[in-house]
Amino acid sequence: MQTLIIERPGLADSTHDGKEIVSSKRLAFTLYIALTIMLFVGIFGGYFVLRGNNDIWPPTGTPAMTLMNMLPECLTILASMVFLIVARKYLRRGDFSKFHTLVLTSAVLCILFVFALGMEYWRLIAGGVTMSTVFGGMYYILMTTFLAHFIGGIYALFRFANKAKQFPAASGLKVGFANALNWHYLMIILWVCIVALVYG
Amino acid sequence: MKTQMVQTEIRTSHNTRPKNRKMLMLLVGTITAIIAISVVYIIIFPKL
Repeated sequence: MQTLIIERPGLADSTHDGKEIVSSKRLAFTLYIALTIMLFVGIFGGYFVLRGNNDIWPPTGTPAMTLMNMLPECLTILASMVFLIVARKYLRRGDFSKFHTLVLTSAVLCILFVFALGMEYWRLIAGGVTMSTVFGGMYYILMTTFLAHFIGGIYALFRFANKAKQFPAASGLKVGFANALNWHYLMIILWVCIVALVYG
Repeated sequence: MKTQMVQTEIRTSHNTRPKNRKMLMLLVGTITAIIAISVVYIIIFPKL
């Protein structure tokens, strides 16, 4: 009778079971978060240098830029975070219907954030802040880079909502959602830095 | 040979109603919030 021997690399190595040592999803995402931080540190650095070069910053004639103007954005982004944290609680319990609702609500709040920021763009453009000025150029580069990353996060949320509806028990949803949550934390930290820098 | 009857669960309008209501509430909430944000930016902020 023939016996089948299944080989794997490093068979003699008894220190681990032959499975992947580090989760690829986790590793890739950690690297991605580090890269994003580096990108924004560069932009913040540019902002500091340009602000230091100008005596009057923001230039005279710029519409009012106070923390009050950022209230709708801050409220929507914080509320979306709260919904995601509650959604994770339901995901752990295995209540995929509630998870679906909460993730969708959070995604809607994120869209509202984008809309509010669009209104802020409109207010500033109407007030004469354009790409042709130093302040305007720096402002739009910073905000649009942030928006691009944030919109990617919204797309991920819609994907999770779909996954919860179609294959709730599929493996990888928890790790994936933990990544999405980390991404959202990063977005909030960056947002606080941006508001403190530009509107503070 | 016995014929086995397989009863398929058909989604009736009653079953789908709560789900539609959920989506409808989300949509109504979004539109209300969009109007609220627009009002804040168009009416309140210029007065500040």
